[in-house]
Amino acid sequence: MKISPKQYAQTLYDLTMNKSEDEVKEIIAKFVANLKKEGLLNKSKEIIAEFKNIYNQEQKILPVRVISAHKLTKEEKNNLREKLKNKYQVREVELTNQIDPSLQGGFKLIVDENVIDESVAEGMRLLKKALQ
Amino acid sequence: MNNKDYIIEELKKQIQGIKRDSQEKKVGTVLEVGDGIAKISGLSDLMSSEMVVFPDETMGVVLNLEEENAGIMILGDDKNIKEGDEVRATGKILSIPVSEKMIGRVVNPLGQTIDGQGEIEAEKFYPIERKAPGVIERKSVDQPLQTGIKAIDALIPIGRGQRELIIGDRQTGKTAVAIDTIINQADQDIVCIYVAIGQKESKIARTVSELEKRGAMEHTIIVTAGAAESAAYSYIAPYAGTAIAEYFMDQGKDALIVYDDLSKHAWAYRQISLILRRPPGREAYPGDIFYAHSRLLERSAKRNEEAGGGSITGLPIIETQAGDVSAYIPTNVISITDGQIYLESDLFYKGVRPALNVGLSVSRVGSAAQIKAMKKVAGTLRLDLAQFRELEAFAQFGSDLDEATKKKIERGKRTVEILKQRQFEPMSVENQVVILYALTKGYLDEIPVKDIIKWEEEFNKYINASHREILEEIKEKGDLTEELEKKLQKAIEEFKL
Repeated sequence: MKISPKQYAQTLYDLTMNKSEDEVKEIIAKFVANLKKEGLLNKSKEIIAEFKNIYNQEQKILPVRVISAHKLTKEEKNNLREKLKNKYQVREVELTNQIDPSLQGGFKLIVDENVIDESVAEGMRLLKKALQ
Repeated sequence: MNNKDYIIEELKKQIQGIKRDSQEKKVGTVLEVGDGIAKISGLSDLMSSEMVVFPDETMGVVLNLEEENAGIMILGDDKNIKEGDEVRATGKILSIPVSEKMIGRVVNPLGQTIDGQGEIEAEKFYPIERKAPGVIERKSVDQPLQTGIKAIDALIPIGRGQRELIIGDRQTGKTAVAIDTIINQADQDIVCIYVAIGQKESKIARTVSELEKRGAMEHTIIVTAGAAESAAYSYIAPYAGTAIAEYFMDQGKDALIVYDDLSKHAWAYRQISLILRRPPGREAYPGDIFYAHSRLLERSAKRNEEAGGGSITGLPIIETQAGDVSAYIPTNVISITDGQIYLESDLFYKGVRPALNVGLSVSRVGSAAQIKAMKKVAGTLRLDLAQFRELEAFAQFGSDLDEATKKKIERGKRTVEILKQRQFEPMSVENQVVILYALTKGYLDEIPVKDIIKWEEEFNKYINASHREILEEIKEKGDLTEELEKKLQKAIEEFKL
């Protein structure tokens, strides 16, 4: 039977759970050797992506992309983090900040495939639509 | 001044009234785009054939749903859509606005007007794909749909709710048959929908102006997906046209829909399917091309009174290549429809127009809907013609033939002449009946073949002017009683003198 990248990633996660750094090093070496044997090194990108997903899910980490017109201050970031933690009931929020001047102001949050758009550009678009 | 303040206040109020929805929205991302197809990821709860919107307000329809991504058919221009663009789902199945006001207008397959005479307000939205009426709602075809073409109304009658295929090579007059039929529906209380699929814009423009010139646009809607538009338009055009027809059928009205033509529809669907990487089958058409056509043509139906009545009559057109009716798409559509009108280029060039091949054309259900008077006069017509075709080869032996054979050949020649008809000149069923009566009763046997067309013209004028009551009676009763027959005989004899 073919084993999917997702299954590989799950296995890797199960193996490395609660292990010390040295042990992890050893496990990964073996894991990669196995992948090479199976000729699946070309699938490594997908396995890494799946592993990220599984790790985040199990550890209740929420990756969030914030797109804003200007760089967010530390205070703003912390504020946002706390709010998101409460909203999504997660342990930690992994915030990445992207700058996009075309938003003109405000911000746009991207969580998985959900978007909360609070930018000025979106507001203008809605206003334009409503006035038509 | 007061006015200014008022306007500003009102504007402010309105602007405040616009709610910024700071709620979560689901968006997907464009992974790749090209050839009118986009592949997107995200949007985990997309439905099949759901509408999605791209950032430039272009719409798309979900065709392929896969594990991690979805294949989207872009409705319109894909030039402004880039990789990484956000895609919003609408939660609605692809539907088009329908309205009474569409009559007389030219619209695209999304229901937007393109004749530059302003927009139409939608009365309702109809999904472009809908399940055909089931058995319980249906009724067998029992009302005629007069095409106004003698050869068709007499030999291959069409009923309301029937699907009759018009098939033939290019330049054999397929569109002409359909247009004449539309023109003839002027006072028949039928809404006509002409769906132009992948046609040259010049041809569409010509069709529209011909219909306008003859006052036929007053009961006609034109749905057009030109050759310059994307294949997606061509693919959805017939379904959109049918949705409009269903709107009228749901009100208990009769509708006639012409699909011109389904070969181009099949090409468009083949293109989209191949770009979506669906496996190609025979002639590279996708595996569900038969179903694509059968579910479309099944929506033509005659509803019974309990279901509200109304009907959709379908006239699909198929273009064959070099007369090959055994190619994939022609055989498919022949088997779906309730008969076919087969047009031949040989006949066309011989001057037999409409170039109908009477032997190969059939109507499987329409004869039940023919009026009694027409049944009486047309009964022997098909036989006469068939015998004539068999004997035609002997015609050159001339004098060596026996009397009976000669007679049959002479009658056949006249029958062929009578069945000729010029384009844009549909004839009412009463006039057809009296002319065919004269033919089948042998009143024309004495008239030289070359004068038949002139005789017909003159006779039509004469009977319309001097014996209107005969025509009125046929129209009213639908039958040719003995008494009426006698009157008719007298009228014909008088004209001869």
